[in-house]
Amino acid sequence: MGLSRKRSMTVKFIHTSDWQIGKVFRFVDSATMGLLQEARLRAISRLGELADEHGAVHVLVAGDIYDMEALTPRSLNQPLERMRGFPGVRWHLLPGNHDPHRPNGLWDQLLRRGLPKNVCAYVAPEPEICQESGLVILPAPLFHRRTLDDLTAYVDDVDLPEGLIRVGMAHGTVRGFGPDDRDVPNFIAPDRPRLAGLAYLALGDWHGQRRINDRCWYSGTPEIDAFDVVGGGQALLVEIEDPSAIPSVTSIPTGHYTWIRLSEQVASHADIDRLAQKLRSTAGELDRILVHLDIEGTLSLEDRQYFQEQISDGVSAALCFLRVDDNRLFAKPTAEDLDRIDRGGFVRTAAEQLKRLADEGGSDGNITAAALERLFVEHMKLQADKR
Amino acid sequence: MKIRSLAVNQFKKFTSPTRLDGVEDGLNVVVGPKEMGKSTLLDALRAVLFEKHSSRAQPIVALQNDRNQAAPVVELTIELDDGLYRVTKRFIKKPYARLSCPDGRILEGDAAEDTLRELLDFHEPGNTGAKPETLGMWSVLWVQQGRSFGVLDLPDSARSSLHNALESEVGTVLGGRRGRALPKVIENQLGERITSRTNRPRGAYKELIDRVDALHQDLGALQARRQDLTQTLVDLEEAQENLQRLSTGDRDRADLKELDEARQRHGRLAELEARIETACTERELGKRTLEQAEEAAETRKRLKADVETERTALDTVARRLTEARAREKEARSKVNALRGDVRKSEAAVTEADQAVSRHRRVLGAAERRSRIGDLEERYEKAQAAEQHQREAQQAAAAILVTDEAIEAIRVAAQEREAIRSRLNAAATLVSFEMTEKGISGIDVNGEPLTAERTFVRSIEAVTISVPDRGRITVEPAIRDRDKLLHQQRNAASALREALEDVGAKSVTDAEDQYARREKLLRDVELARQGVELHAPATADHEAGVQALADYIEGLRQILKGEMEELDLSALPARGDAEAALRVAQDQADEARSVFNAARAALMGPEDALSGLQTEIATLQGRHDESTDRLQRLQAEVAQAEEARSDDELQSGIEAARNRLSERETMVAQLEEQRSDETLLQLEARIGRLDKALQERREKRSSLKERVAGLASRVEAAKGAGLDEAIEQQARELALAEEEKRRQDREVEVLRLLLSTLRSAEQEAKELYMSPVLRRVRPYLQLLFAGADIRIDENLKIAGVVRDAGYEESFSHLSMGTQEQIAVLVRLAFAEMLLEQGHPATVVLDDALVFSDDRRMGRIFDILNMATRNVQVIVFTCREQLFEGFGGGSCHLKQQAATNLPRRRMGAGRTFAR
Repeated sequence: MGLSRKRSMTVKFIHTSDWQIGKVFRFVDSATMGLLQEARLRAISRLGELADEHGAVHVLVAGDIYDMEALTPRSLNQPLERMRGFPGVRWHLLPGNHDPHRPNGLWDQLLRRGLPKNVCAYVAPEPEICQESGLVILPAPLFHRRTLDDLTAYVDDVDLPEGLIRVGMAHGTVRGFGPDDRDVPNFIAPDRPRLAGLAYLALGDWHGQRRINDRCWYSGTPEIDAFDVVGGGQALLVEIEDPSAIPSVTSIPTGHYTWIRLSEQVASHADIDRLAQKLRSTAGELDRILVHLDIEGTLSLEDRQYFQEQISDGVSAALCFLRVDDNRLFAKPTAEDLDRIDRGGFVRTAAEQLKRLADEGGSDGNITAAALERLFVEHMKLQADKR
Repeated sequence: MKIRSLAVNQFKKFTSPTRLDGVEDGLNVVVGPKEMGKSTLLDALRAVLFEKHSSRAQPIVALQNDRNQAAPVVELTIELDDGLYRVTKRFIKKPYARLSCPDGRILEGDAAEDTLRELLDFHEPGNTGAKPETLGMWSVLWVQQGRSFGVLDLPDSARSSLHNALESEVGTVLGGRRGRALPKVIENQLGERITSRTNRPRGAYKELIDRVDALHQDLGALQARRQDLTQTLVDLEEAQENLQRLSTGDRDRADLKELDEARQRHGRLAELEARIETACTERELGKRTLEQAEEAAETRKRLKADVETERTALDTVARRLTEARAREKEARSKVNALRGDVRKSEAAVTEADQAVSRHRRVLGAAERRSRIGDLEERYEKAQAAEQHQREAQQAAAAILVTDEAIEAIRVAAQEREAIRSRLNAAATLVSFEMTEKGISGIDVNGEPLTAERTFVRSIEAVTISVPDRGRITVEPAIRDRDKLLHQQRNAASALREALEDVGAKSVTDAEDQYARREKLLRDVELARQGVELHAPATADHEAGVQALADYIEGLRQILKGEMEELDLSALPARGDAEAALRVAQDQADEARSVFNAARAALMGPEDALSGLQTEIATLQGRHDESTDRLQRLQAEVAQAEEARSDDELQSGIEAARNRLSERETMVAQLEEQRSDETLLQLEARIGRLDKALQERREKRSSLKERVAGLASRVEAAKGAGLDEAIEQQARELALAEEEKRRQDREVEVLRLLLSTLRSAEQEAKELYMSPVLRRVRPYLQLLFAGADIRIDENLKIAGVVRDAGYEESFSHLSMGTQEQIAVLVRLAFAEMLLEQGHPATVVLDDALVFSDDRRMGRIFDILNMATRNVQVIVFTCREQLFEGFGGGSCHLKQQAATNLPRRRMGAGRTFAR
């Protein structure tokens, strides 16, 4: 085989998965949710742009294009329209566990209505030969949310012309929880490329990008959708010179938003300032950052107020979204706090009573502490009004 | 502070100098009549201490006496910790103020008044004079008439003093204005979320809860729709698979082929069956033709036999008829002979019966005559008896001595006898015992004396003539002699009359007549009974002689008629008649037995004759019928033979038999062509296959409809984007629930905070008021055992807590109780102030007017207890009531007019400003 022919055989494609179009973000406000949903659509455009940029003709989407089966026509069509916008790119879509191919299901619906010319949906485990690229795609679409068979197994016995680069597409997990991995649903044998002579197996389902072996990768989701996703917001540029060559796999960033989970401890005014500083100095544009802050520690009533002002109300405004988990942040009133409330009088007595109860803890400890905090706040407000 | 003395001049009604002295440390009573001016004294106290001397305010002007308009002057001595102070003020005209201090200073004018304010802690009065507000605590401790009861009216200044006093004891326990505002703020915040009374959610909080519920429901509905969609998809898939299976057409083709074959076989079989049926029908027809031919031959044979039978029968009947007729003739002649005998004997019987009848009538007539004879005999006897009865009746009627008459005579006779007996008893007895010789010659009352008559009884003079001797007269001396004699005469007269009435000579005669009459009457009765015996009433006639005679006459007439009828001139004797009858009867019996024998002899031959006649009639009928029948049968045979001869009949039978044989052969041949299949089997198969094909067609059609319907439902549901909607809804719900949790917690926090604040506030108030309560409680316990008092943080008496634990609002208590409690609280205030070094004296003007006497004792005890520390001055007009008061009594004294204004108290210096 001549070099030139070998060169001409080089196949370049982008591997992506888990677009989860239509996903609903329960914990954020409506405005933020709109932004996050829009970002997921924008990621498709970004992938198209990257394909053009890198001269990749194919984009393989390894499952979970949609987050669910019954979507509104708008949600169904939005990604298709994005893909239609890149006529030079061929999009290969695989039904995943979130959008399995079921009789009369969403794929039937889409196929009946007609997909854009450059979009191809695999609703049967049948090889698709792209003659001009010398590529054959071996999809393993899911027909159920969970299946106990390794749907890629058919690939071992498929009879195909020699010389084509075989690329598998599957959605599931390569790792189980027991001694026999095969018992987990949607299991995929990670050594399938070796068994079936695949040049590459494009996997989806894990939202973080992951190399399983030289020929087996999870691309991760192009736009992160949770705080616990590591290595998301990326796609893979895959280049394969010939059917037996080890593919060259390059990670390319696609995500717009950065999701950060932070655990911090505070005990003083200074700690709060430092935390605010740290958050403000996070790399990148702050309005593209979502933060889940687990805060822990004990603050005086005054500092608790300060925390509220600086972090929950202050820094939060700079970020796209700040979620504060303050279940383990305790307000512990100091003598000064109590003196600020009053040096005498029944309000002071009440404050001391609440402090005593809060110190005792118990099931109502939280409530008691909150009541004391509230007393402090309201008293301060009255004082401010008086001034 | 203690008041020691007070003097006034030209002050209201006090136009001359008047002084109140001897005011002691503890309890003082100023007693005096109502018009004395107690209240004026209190006015003087207030004026000298709290009013400015220079004031021209209306209340000050009013201190002047109405008439003389002189300047009012007041002088007061008080004792403070450092000694005696004397205050003197003159108002309106040439006013001045002067304060003599224990250290000898004498302050004049404003200096005096300023010092006084400092000492006694009150405020400078305004232009309109002193007010409760300027008086401070003094307005509480000094109570004007009519102000001692009701709610304690505390001016702010007084309240401030008391608050200072309280806080100096318990420290700052109340939160001040901000502290009081805080629970209000929290309460408002809580009130925005829940209702204060029922703790039910309200406003935005309620809307949130409702929203969570609504979202839950909406989500449930969406999930149900999603479930429905899933099921619809399953149904659709199943329907599509079924349709697919049914649409291949393999089964239909196999079924159609089988159906075609079955139909062809059915056609062939049906044709064969039709031919068999036709052959069978023809066979049956042949059978019937043969049967008919055979039947015709048989009928002919039977007809000929009948003719022969009939002919034989006719001959038999004709023979028997001839025989019967011969027997009948013989029997008839025999019967005729016997009938003649019967007729003869019958005539003899009739004759004999007539003879019996005549003899019976003759005997009847004889008997009647004999009866007439009997009756005539009785008639005669009855007539005689009747005659005798009449005669005896007449004889009895001639005698007058009836039962009444004889009774009257007997009574009269007895009466006379009774009187005679009495006379006899009374009569004088003159008896003579003499010899017969002696007797002779002697007569008594002219009658000679005899040996049988040797005594005389008399009631009248008895004259005894003794011959030769003369006469002896005995004159009886009897009492009632005359009366008795008279009665005797009356009785005799009555008897005589009675006898005369009946014509009797004597009693004996009367008795005889009576007896004769009785006998006659008995005879009458006997005769009457005789008549009755001989002529009694019978069925034929009445009783009585005449009736009997009539009856006899009737019988005679009958007898006469009978004899004429029988044509008899004389009747035989009865025995003869009877004998003749018996002979006739015997003859009649004889004739009857002859007749009966003749009849009996006739009976058998008559029956025989009758039988023969019946037999002949029967035989004749049979003979006639048989003759007819024979003729008819013979005609029939002739007719039939003429129509078809016997040979022809026989040849017809042969032909029919041959045709039947041919047809049976044909049926057997056709039946051999049949197979195992029957028409029914083939029809069932055709029906089944038809139905199966039809059902599959229908099923396909309905499945197509179902698939279309399900597909459209799926399409519709897909359009709704249910999963997306569910996710959205779940998100909304999660957010709402999060918010609700936050709000729940908020409510919990606020409630805890509010309740903590409220209880702390309550405790603080209780602590705050404790100095007052501690002092007032012992007094209160004396007045109302077990009761407690509640004073709010504004020092208002809120209520009384009774022994049982329930609280009564202060305003609901009686006036007396309100006043008593108000006084006790004042005492407590004064005590507290004094203990903290403030001046305090309690003045009560005509207080406790509403208290009853029973409770006054307790009040006095309490006042005595309290005045160990506090000076109390009571102005009252109820002297008697306050006798047991226990305090010192003070009296007003008149003084020399010049004394008061000019006198200088103390020997100190005078300071002037």
